[in-house]
Amino acid sequence: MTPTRALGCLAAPLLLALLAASPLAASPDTQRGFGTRSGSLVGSNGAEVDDASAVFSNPAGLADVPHTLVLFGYESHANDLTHDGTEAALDTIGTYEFGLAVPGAIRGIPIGFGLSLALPDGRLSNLRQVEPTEPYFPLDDAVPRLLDLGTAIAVRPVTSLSIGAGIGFVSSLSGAFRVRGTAVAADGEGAEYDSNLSHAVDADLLSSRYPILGIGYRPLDILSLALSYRGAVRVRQQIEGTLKGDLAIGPLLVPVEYAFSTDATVAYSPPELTLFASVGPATRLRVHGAVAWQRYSSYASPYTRSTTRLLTNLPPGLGLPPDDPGTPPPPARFNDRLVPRLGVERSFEVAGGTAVIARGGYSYEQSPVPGSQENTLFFDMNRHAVGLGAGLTVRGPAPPFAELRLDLGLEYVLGTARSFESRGARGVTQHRADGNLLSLGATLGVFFGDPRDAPEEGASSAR
Amino acid sequence: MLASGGSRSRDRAHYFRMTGGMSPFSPARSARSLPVVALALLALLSTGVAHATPAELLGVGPKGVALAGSGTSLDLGPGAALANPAGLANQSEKELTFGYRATRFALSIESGASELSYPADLSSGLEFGVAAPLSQGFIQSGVGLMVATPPNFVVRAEVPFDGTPWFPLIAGRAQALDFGAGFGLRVGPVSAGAGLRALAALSGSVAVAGGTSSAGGVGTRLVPAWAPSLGLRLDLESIGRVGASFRGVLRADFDADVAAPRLGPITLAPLNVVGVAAYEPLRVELEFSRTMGPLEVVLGARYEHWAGFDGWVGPTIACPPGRPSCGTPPPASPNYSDVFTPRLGATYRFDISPVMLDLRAGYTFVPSPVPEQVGVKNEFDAARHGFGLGYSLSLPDDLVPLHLDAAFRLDLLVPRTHHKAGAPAVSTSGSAQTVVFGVGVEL
Repeated sequence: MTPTRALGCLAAPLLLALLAASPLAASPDTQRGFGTRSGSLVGSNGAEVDDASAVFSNPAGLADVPHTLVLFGYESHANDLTHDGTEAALDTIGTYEFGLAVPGAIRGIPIGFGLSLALPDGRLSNLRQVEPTEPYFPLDDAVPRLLDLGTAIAVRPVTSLSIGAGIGFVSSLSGAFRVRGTAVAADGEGAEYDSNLSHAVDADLLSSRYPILGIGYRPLDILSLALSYRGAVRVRQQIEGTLKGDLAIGPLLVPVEYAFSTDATVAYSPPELTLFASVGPATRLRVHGAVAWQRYSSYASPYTRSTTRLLTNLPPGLGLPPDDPGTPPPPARFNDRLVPRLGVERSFEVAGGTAVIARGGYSYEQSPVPGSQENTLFFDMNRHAVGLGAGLTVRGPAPPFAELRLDLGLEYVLGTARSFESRGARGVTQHRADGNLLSLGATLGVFFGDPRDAPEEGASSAR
Repeated sequence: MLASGGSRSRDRAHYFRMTGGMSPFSPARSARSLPVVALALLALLSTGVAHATPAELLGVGPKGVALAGSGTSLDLGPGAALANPAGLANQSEKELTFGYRATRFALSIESGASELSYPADLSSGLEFGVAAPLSQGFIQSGVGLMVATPPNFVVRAEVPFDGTPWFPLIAGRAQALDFGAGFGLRVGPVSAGAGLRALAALSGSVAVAGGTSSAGGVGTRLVPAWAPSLGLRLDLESIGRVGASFRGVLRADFDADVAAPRLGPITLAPLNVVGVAAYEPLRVELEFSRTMGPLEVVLGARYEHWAGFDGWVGPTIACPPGRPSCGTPPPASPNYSDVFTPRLGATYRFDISPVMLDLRAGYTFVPSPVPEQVGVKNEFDAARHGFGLGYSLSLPDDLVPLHLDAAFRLDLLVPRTHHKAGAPAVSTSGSAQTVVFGVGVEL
């Protein structure tokens, strides 16, 4: 069997699985890192990352990028989550990924720049506000529907040490619209469309940034260590509206002003500190480990605070709604957690400059959601995540390509059913969350440049 | 005939303040309402409006600003991703650039004896770019991206009520993100490039007081607004360089469907809050540049297809299917016109060993696509003269391969008078001053 056919046999099942992805829904934590390799290793490989995915996992890794890189990828995230036996209404998300990494040097000191972009369903975001009475999967609903955009720069001042820093971006909405004119009350025959109204808009798409920092240390050729930090990601949605003018009810014309506002944190990802280690106990074998501390206790309540106000001269007794000053949303009261991750990579040289890599990983994620809740319905499970993947690396295929990398992978998250109680206006109720998640992905990395640009070997020995 | 749309403050609390619901400046009233006109002008609130991108308005980076918008035939480094992606093919070194831009507007509106300043915000932005060659030799290629973003927001949608005075194409165009990424390929003297320009557009749904007193759910989707860009460049050695570029319409809409508000038993029509947050028309550029010893001259022109623009807002009430007309008339067409913008620039290089100093200057005349405002609308704009100055200081490669750039641009608005039927004429004038600082480093 030729190397090409062997590769085809290996990749075909993954590609078939990718194409046959079932209509499920996504999770933020199924995106354990950017790109397929990170997903296959369940995000354990931050100590040895030498492509654009370093922007999110450990920016210091950008100093190890061997050549100018353009990266394209696609991932499908699906789930079959259930709340109290009912399927959660979460759609499958297809995420398009793009990465750019440019290495270089100033006065002999290696420097690397990287940019990574992931567009869920080709959008920047797709968010909604939720009510406390609504079953809600806080880790799976909003964050996967957010754009991942980050840029970072790294420097390696001495051979064994690299330092990186970057910024991630998300966008919040703060805006108001005003409507004025004459509004005609509905009469069942379309009279409301006789309204003569105009509107004005004053809205900002605010840029919310979070820091990404990383340090890489390589004390031995076979050992790499890294520490990375990512700040909290918070997306807030504030919308205000007013309707001011005259209200026509039949022949009656009365002045009216109606105003409302909503304010909610519609997506939140906690700050995270991760310690990575990678060792090479044997030739072409790399073992990756990581422990992430995720500060979920700062999780912002996703619920909406709404206010309404109505000013009019209409006579009482018409059943007009009273003003609502709004009530603070119930707090989330999540718990911090530690997430251990483990990954293994083994490469096989199949021809000169061509290697096939097999990958696997495992992580356990204890749910940060409390088992006893007050006035909330947060559904979540403890999760076992298993990653599998394969990679193909071709070095020096033909100018101007210095290297090609194709990675295919999947990640299966097995949720262990979890029950919780919620105390609310209807007393204490029991609930149960269950389900699994599946992510499939493919990433193509194309490296350009002169091999003389490459840093010394060892950045990614498994390849 | 100036009208106040009520509050236009960025202070959201103003939206809940009781003010006169309808404009006090109806056409019949305005002729005898000069004091009120003055008050209305004072009531204009805060910030500039944001309707396109700074690079289109002022130029790309310090070099483009100093040369009054030139750059289609020049080596701009990462800035080529915005100006002409074909230029990325000529990228010989990996390059990172960082910069900061600030634009201050001094705009005034005069009606009768009243003259008031238009309170436009300072527009500022951080600039960042990267470019890298992908191949050298007979076939050269390169890739690059350039981002210029306001410090606090991605895009600002601010569209006032009809009648409210504003400058949508001057102050507004400096208040949005610029993002461009491109790829260039060169074979012999011919370079070609393709790229994307991007903005963010908003669509959403808002359910207001769905039968109870509480505001209902809000859902939003942010979608990227893309525009393709294409470029060509011809390098004719001693004769000079010719650059041409095309960019499609770059348009970021906002579109919020507000479910039929219900005030107890009273139901209103669903609201259709739609409009345009940022708009750049289809653009074609042609430019020639030539180097003569230490002097480089550049001559170019831009065509912008503004006639295709259909207005900043849509109808607030959308007629249901089968009903030919509703009480809310569709907004009138803005009747913008296409414009040709000529420009010229020059760079003189001083070899002050061990450093190189480039001094730059440029001039452009930018006609206004906006017609005279004779009716209720007050979308003010004017032709402007743009003067640019700047320098670049390049340090020797064996020290640090770095260049420091700065530029200043002054835009002087040609005074313009809008003759209103049955109302005092309104005159506009003003200026915009832009400074840009940048640093570029070769990796």
